[in-house]
Amino acid sequence: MLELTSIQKSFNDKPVLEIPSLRLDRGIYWLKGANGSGKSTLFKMLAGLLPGKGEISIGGISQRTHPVPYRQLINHSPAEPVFPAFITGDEMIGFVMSVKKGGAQQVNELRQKLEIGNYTANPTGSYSSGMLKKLSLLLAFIGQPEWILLDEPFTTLDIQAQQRLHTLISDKRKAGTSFMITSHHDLDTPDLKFDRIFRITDTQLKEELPL
Amino acid sequence: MNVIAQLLHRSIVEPFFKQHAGLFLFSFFILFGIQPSAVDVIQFHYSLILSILDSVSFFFIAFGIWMIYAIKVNLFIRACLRKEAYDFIYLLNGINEATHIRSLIWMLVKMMAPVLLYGGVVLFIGILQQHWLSSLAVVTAILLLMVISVIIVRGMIRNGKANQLMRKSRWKSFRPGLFSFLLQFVFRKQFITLLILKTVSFTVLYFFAKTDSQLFEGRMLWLLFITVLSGHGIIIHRNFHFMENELVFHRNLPLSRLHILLSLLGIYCVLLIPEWWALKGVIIIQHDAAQYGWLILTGPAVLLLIHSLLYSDDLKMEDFLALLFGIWIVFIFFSLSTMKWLMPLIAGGMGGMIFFLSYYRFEKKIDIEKKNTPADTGSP
Repeated sequence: MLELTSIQKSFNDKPVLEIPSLRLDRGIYWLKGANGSGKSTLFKMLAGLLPGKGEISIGGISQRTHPVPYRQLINHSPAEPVFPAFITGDEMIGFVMSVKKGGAQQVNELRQKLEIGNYTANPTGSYSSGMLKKLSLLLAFIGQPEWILLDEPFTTLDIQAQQRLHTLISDKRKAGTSFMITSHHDLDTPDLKFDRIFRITDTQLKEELPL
Repeated sequence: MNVIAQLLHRSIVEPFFKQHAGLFLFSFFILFGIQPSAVDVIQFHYSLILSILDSVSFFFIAFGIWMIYAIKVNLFIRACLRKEAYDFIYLLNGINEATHIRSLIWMLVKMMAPVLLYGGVVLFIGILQQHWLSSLAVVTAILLLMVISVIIVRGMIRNGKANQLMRKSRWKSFRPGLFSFLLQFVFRKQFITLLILKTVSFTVLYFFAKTDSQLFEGRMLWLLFITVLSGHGIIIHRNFHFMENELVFHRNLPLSRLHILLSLLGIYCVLLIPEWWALKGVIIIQHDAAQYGWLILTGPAVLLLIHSLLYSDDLKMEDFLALLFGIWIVFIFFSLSTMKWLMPLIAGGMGGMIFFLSYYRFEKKIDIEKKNTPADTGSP
């Protein structure tokens, strides 16, 4: 269970997020909101990339008091992935694999499912935006995370890759992983069903009626 | 000036001089501004030029400096060619080869102007003084640098952007991780800064460590060492920004603060190997193993403290330089006292403590004003 208590985030004294309390059981969640509403900020806070006020925990493991075990339980793929241009995709995969405790077999399966070719042997500076996105998604699935945060995962992906990602998310969900996804695309397709949908409006997180 | 030359001038030559204005100003001040009068400036340079013409060692020192400058020019062009905004440069592949080469030579002549001008003066004096062989060596050296630069730049444009970006890494044998990525960043992206800094610091420290301690006040060595350590500030600042921008995903990884701290310590120990080597004279000549030990420990501890302080706030460059100056003052006072041995303990202890307290609290400031202004500053 992902639990948020008294979450507050401001930029230059301007509040962007205020979530008094939220408990999310296992499932797939769709986070909606206009551009600049705070979706990516919330993801970055949950992923441990951005500090903020309040308490975040997964299954009772607090981000503040147990930062290392907490990060083992949550993976994040940003909307616009940035990697050092001179480092190869294989190096990135090797690094994340070693710290997230992922195996070579898992990586090979993910490569196949996301149809990532041999381009990862080249430095990331030579990748197109779609290739960068696929690498970022692959990294987000490495290990045994309880939660995966996917920020605009379908942007820059072609139709086939989007469908493969739908299937991958559904498969991982069946295996017990929960997802929080932001997207401006319509995501409610037969192979990807959302448990709950939230929208951030005026710094507040509100649940939308089921589709 | 034809259209191609004008294009190269506006897109590469001008940004090069704009971006390095500070370096040029500093070099100009060192070469021409510290002598008391114009006559002294002329005499100083005349002696320097005669030394280049008379002594093989001086000639090679001058050649080394010109070569570093030429490498800097080449790296700048390479960095430009890798940017999307510079894709139009590859259109040069479609024009006639002679025009293409002529445009590149003209561009490089302008970028290498400081070397060509000084080399020209050395050549002029060499001919006047009838140092025929030395003059020939100067001409050959400068021509060599120019020809090699033109060949390299031509090659970069011919090979295209994708091939440049896909150059195979020679670092693959390292285990991928924070340490390896930072090491690559320092040696691949800051190579020139590192080369200049290490050449200066090694020479200065080697000279003082080798000199009999009776000739110099013993505290001079510490004073110089602290100054050299502060000189690493620019590299530390870039490392920090690399970690918090391109490597920011590491904050989502289950890495303990101790792991990150040890990676940083490892990097700064590697960076200080030349200084440790240069200071060997403290043991060999001055037979002061204890002082050598404290110097060795002080180095990484101070660099770690400087890096850790960056986590205390998202400092702009001017604020960071002010902070660096403050650290330099404090440690200079320490080095003048008899409590020098406390330096590694205080710097290391404070560095570790600040890092542990600030790492998870650090946040980049969002500059709304900056975001609203047009991004195009004219520099690449």
